[in-house]
Amino acid sequence: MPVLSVRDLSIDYITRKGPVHAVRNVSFDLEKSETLAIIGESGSGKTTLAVGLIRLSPRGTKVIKGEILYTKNGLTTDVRTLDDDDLREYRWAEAAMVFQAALNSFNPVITIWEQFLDTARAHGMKDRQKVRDRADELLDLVHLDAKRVLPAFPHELSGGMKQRVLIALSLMLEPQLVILDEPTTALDILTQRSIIDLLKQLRERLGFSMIFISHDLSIAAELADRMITMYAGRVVEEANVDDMFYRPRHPYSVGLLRAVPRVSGALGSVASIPGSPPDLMRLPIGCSYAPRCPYAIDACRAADPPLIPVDTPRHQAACIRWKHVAELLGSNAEVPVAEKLA
Amino acid sequence: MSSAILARPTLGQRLAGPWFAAVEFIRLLSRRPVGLVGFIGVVFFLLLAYVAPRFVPFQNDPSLGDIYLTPSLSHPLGTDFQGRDVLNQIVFGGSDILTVAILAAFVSTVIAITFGSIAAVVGGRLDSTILAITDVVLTLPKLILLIAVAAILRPTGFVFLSILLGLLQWSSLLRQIRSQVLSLKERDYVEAARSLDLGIVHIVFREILPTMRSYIAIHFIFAMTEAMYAQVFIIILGLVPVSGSNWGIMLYFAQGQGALYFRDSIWYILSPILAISLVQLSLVSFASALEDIFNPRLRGSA
Amino acid sequence: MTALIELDHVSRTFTTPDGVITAVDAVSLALGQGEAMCLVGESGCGKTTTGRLLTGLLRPTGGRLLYEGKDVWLTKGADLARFRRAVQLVHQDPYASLNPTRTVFQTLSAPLFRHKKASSQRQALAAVTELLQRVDLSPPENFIAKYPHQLSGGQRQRVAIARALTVDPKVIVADEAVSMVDVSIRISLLNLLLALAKEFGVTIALITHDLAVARYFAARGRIGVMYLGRMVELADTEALVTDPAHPYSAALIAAIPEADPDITRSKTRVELRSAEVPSLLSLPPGCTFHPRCPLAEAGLCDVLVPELLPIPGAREVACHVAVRERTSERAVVTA
Repeated sequence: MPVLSVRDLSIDYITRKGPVHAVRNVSFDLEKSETLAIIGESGSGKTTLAVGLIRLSPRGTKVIKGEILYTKNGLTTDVRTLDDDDLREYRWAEAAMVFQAALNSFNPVITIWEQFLDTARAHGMKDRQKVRDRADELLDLVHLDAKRVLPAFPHELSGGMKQRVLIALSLMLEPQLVILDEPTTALDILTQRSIIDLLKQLRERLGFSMIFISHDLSIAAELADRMITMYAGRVVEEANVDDMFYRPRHPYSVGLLRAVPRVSGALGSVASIPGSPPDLMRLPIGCSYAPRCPYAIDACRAADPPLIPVDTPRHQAACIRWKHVAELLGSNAEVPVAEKLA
Repeated sequence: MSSAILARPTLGQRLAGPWFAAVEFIRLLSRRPVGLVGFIGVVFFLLLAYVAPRFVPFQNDPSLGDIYLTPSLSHPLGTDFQGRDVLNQIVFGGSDILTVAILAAFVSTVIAITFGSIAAVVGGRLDSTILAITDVVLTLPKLILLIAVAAILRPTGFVFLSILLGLLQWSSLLRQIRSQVLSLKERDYVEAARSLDLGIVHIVFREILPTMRSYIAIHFIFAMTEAMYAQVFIIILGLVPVSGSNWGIMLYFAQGQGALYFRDSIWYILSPILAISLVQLSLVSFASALEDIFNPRLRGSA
Repeated sequence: MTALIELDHVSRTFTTPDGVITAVDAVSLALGQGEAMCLVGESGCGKTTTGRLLTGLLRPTGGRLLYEGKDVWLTKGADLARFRRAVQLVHQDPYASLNPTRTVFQTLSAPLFRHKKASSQRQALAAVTELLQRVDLSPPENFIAKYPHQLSGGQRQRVAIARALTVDPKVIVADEAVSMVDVSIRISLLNLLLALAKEFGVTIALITHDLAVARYFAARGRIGVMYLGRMVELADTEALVTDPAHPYSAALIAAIPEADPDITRSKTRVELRSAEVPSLLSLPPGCTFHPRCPLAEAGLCDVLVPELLPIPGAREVACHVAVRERTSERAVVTA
């Protein structure tokens, strides 16, 4: 049984001018100890989806339909049906979220130690000594010096250190699932490297499943086992990380991969995707990517294509022309898209 | 669409322009009911003070037999200590107060904007000097100063009183304008304007101040309310020669003539108080909606 | 190639309540006409300050800024005004770079009127239309009357570039100009800047922390790597990327995650001796990188500040060890 199974999840923002369909019919499975990357740009719905998974959505959002099935020790619950007490237990003890350190994720007027204490207390750990021991343990796990970090205020720590503290906090109750929102964005290259390496280490040691959301394809290439690309609120492709990078079948995935230059290896033919993402309140009929898609035909504009399996295992794409895309890419070799299209 | 910028506007277009602006204004205002109500109140009192007097005969003759009459159809707000109709006095009593308030607010706002911007943009010693003067004025006890100056100078004309009030009010607004301009000065688009050599006048009047429009308008309104209170205050204290009749003078007489002690004369006191309070309330309520009105994001196509 | 604009041992310090920070320390950089180059580095390396020193928005506390061979800070009047217009900055944040209360037309026509490139609304409209076309905002009529909040981040950056172009600049410094724009649009913005360099001979200096962006943009040009206020390496892009001379550049290139699972998972990292970045308030003596450098030699690197010196391959590096190894290699080869 997968640890997390999301079925047909749809989330709307309710605005004065009408509902904004931020997440539309998203389904995916996450196995034990697997790492899933959800990749999308601004307006793709990835962050709405992430906070929706632990029901931390802000006011004004509404889950229209769908199930979030969480399984532990053979027992499956729909997160959507949890009451407040169970939900509090679910959050942090089962599924913990690591927010972007750059975005004011800390209370600026309390020390890091008080942050640990607050979090522990909120989830039932009252014994100060126990919390202290656990904090020491966790900070050690993320290679931080507890004696230096605990008495500090957030602004006294660097971006990388803050991100590590957030990761440490998330592991406090040994969750089965860790969700990270843009874990390396706004960090310097060397700091990014250390966080990526840290996550690999922790994953190895503690065996949790990981979902991370990002617009940065390279971190997916580093960490993910499976990948989802999102566009205009929908999952447009789901695959193993190798298949996604070397054998993408959805034109948006191809476009996105092609738009990211690399440092090592040949540049290949790098190109932007023309146009802009659609207005989520006025989605076009048919495939929402069609207006920007170089391979779109009339049938694409007639109906929104469902996710269909394509030519490699555990690989789905929401595109009726996936075979054409496969042909264009030519070989199935482990060569990046930009080179294949050069 | 672009040629629309250049083509000579037809009469229809010229009339349409302000019409659309007015419709837009009302649309934005209606999102904030409090603001809309305030706006209606302000319009009402402006009409009352400036337009109504042209249509209503001025009744200034004392009628000793009608002293302190209670409200009735012929005297909806009763009569005063000389038997004159109170409502009539309310109608004619607003324009003085409002005019001085508007002029005083204008004077203080202009001083605050001019010197606040100059201080922020030029900086250095000029800034320190302006700040020092401002701080001194800021700490002066305004009301006491007002009383003292009024007692010595006995201001008679509007203009004089307006300037006097305006001169006492600019200091806190100047500080606020200065700090706003200081922070806006660092904005990327202002820096771009500097490197494009667009000139200080352009930068202050086209780049910085327009983004402060709601700020300035709100302060203008609050300056008006302050000026109204200050006026009424010195009138009640008898520091201003009592000529003509305005709401403040009504209160002066009401107090002086012992209207406080008679139950029948309640309306003589209450009417000007209510008039002043309602004007203030309308102004402040309207001000609360101004930020929306000046926000470019809310304007134009939805 | 004679330099159009040049930083000659330029330094810039800031006095803070905690002490004096040397944001830029004796940086030398010469840019030719039509050159497209990148300045890269991590936060605190001084690249943004260097960009501002180039545009004249910041005055150096040491060294000279030369434009067309003349010291800019010694020029006055018309010459200085000419320089100011010749070097323009494009900012990082598309949401802050345009005045929210002015339409695209107003923003673009103001400099045109000011510098007498248009003297009537009609002329201004024609000029603005042409500018919008040059930055690929097509059709221009759709954009002229829009307010910034009605445009996407990428579109705003194009307007910002168009604004810079209104004064016919010779140099554009783009400070992280694509960092806050969607990934799928970055390349088209970079291509626009490259077209300006190639077709109109505008010198473009792109400041970025993203090595992949730098590699693409400066593919036919140079990259300058900065660390803690100093220029540590300056080389042709391909040379830098395939064979970095400075250990810091090597560490960066090895550390950067790549959008390619096979490559990124098999890259050999350069292990640094310490993960701590020294504070700008108390820089290490000698080479500022030595506490972290795997090649550091006691008695040399912690004592003597390395100069940016030329090494074979038309490149420069500020590292005692690298200079020694590479010049002696060359000597061995030619012997």
